[in-house]
Order: sequence, then C-alpha cells, then structure tokens
Amino acid sequence: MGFLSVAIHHGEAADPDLMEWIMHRVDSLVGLGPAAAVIVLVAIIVLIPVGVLGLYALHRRKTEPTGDNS
Amino acid sequence: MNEAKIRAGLYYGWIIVGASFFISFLTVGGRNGFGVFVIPMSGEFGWDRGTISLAASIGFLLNGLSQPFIGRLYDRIGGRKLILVSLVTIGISNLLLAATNHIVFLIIVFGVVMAIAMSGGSINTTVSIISKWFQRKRALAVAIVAAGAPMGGLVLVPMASYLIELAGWRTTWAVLGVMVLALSVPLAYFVMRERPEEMGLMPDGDAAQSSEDGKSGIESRRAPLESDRWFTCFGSFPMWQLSGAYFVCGFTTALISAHFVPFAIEEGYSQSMAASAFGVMSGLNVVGVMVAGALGDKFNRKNLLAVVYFLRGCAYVTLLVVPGLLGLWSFSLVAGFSWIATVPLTTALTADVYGLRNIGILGGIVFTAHQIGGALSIQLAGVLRDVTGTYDSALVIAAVLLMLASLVSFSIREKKYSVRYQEPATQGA
Repeated sequence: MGFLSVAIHHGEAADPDLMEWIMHRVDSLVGLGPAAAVIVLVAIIVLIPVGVLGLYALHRRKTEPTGDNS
Repeated sequence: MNEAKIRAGLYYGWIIVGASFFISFLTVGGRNGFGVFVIPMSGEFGWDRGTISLAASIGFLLNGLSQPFIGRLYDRIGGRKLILVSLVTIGISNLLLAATNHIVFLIIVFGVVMAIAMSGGSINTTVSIISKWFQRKRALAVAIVAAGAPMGGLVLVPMASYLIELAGWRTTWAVLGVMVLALSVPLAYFVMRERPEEMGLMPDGDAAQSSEDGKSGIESRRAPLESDRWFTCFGSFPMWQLSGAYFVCGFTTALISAHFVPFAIEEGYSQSMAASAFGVMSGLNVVGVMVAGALGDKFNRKNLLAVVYFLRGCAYVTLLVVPGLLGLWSFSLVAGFSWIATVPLTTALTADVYGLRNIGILGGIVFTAHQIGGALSIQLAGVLRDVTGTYDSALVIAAVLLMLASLVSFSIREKKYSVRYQEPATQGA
C-alpha cells in the first residue's frame, strides 16, 4: 500500500480503495447523476474565487485615493 | 503624499485569508484526488498498484523534504512570487498529466515537479503570509486557511471522480489544470500582498496608520526567540517541543489514513459503514479546525494544543477498548474533531515564539517533522501488522505517543516565549 494511501491533512494522494468506498456511499446518499454532480461541484468551486475577487474589487473601490495632498 | 483614505469596513487581511483558503482548497483538494485516478490509469496502462504508488511515494517524500528549502526561499523572495510561480507550475503539471503515456512521465510530473511546486503553494507558505497580517486573530485566520484543505478534498475528489466517469481521466486532469490556472493564479496575482504595511495597515486591522520608515508599532513587539539566524531555533526548547508534537500528529493521522481500509476489513465493518465513518471524520476536520482557531485567539494556545492531542489519544484508546461500531463511530467523532485542529495552534505558536523573520523556513522544519512521522507510521504499522497479526500494537503506540505529545505541548512555556504575552516596547515607529 505504501505512501499512496496517505491522505494526511497537508494533502497527499488518498487510498483509491477508500475513495471508491466513499464514492459509492456518496452516490447512494445523494443520488445525483455524474453530470448534475459535476455542474453543482464546479459551481461551488468557481463561486469561491469569484466571491473573493468581488470583495477585493469592493475594497479597491472604497480605498481609492481621494486626491488629498499632504 | 497622496494618501488613501480607508473607508472600507472589511480588513484587507480577511480578503487575503479568502484567497489563501481557495489556494489550499484547490491545490490540496486536487492532489488528494490522485486516488481516484489510480484505478482508471492503472487499467489503461496495465500498471499495478505498486508501480503507480511510486509516483505518490516520491511525491510525498519530496513534498516533505523540500518544505524547509521552499520556506527559506519564501523568507528571501516573499510569498506572493513564490505562490504565483508554484500555482502556474501546478496548473501546467496538471495539464501535462493529461498527456501521461508512461510511468516515468507520471513520476517526473506528479512525483517530482508538482510535489515541489505544492510546497511553494502549500499551507505553510500561505499561513506564513497570514501570520504577518494577523497577530491577535492569527489562530482563527490560519484555521480558515487550513480548513480549505479538507473542504477541497470534500468537493474536488467527488468532482474528479464524477468527471472521470463522464469524460475520462485525461480530460479530468486537464480540467483541474485549467481550474488552477484560470481561478487561483488571477486570485493570487490580484489579492495577495506580503504584509499590511504595504497598504498602510496594521496587523488585525487595528488603527490604520503608516509611518515614514514603513514599520508599524506591532513590529516593535519582537518575539522573544526571534533571531536573524534561523538555525538558532534549535538551541531552544519550543522548537523541539512543537516539532516533536507535530511529528506525533503526522504519525497518528497517516496511520489511520493509510491503514483504514485493511483495518476496517479486519474488524469486519461493512464497506458502507467504514466509508460513512471516514466521511464523517473528514467533515468534522473542518469543524474542529475552526473551533480550535477561534479558541486559540482567546486562550492559551499550548493548553489547547495539549487538549487536542489528548482528545486524539482518547480516540485511539476508544478504538482499542470499545468493540464494534460504537468504537468506530466514537473514534471518528473525536479524532475527526482533532485531526487538523493542530495546524492553526502549532503554526500560530511557531510565529508567536520565533517571530516572522524566518517563519518560512521554521514552519517548513516543523512541517517536515510532521511528514517524517507520517512516513514512519505507515511503514511501522505495516510491519507490526505482519508480525503480530493485528493493528493493536500500532494503535497502542499511537495512543501513547499522543498522550506524550499532549504533555510536551502542555509543557511549552508560552507566557515566557510568546509575543502575545510581551509588553510592546513602543507603539508606532
């Protein structure tokens, strides 16, 4: 089995058998087809950076130089 | 001087936390997904598990061993450049993996190039930046970034699995690469800033002020063991205490992650029950790390760290003495809560005690201890299982080590060594 199955919390590849078990369990619980599941999960993934960039843009707008000279 | 008038309510550090969270989410989550590629790739090329595991093994070792060197690079060139280069490399590596046609190619791209690039975009790098943006709320900020890793696993692993089913493994590698390049690189480019002083801010969003020499009041509060020379850290107890305890953290998390399937089969748990218990444990990682981060800013961090190790030790004892499903579920609930709760507490304590001057390399050294513990436990548990016929002896060792880690963490003299308990020399520069 070796290091392949190391899913320790700093991110290494996880055990493929365990992954398969978990995916079967997720399938039986959620019941979405692969296409619908991919759409939902990709939407979640894309929303995070869009949200952060939105906050960044808002912050930029609020902190624009006012032109005061000191 | 043309001065920016700060009217925004949200401290910019939290936007950096958001970007760092996503970088952890995408890079760590994507790498965790390697497991779902193993079966289709092995099937297509006729590789056995041992052959394909070589790429992951080399990657694991290089990722761990490169951390101090990448940390040193961070201290020299800064985190933003390092993260950008790393993310571009990770994205291109993912795209290249779509063209895999030989095991050597997989080993070089996944096991060498991507593993080293992962060190540059790792939690160690992002939290080193975060530590500069936060002092009072450091543990919470680090916890949010650390939570990105398990959350990424929870989202990206199923996403990769479903996409492989729909479009094949090559397309899935390519999609992961495009995601890294199109989503995380622009985020890092626009959002990441090295330190609050660059924007005329103070750590934690305290009274926004800038001074002519660019130094803020908080910088004058020097960590007691901060030094220009990073290697002097080995002459003080906290580095050994933090690294030693983190070694046990790596030892005890890798043990379960690596041997969970054979252990579950041996104990007679059904596949579905074992998967549910592991899934719940992974979900609780997020809750545990957030609670640890929030409490870590209010209470003594070393005491909380001791509690986390103690709880995980109790979880191992439960697995040993409580039979059947009750033991499995008790373990999942308690251990899941403690699994990554060590990250914000250990990271924040390292920064509190040794300061920010060499935070990259010091964080890298502590992290390497964690990886060595992980590598050792996987092999040791396998050998003990073969010799004794059960995992009991490995679990006993884990429980004993966790109790020792708890005592070691408790013995850290935080009030003496942490910047949190020092009086500032001056306020303002």
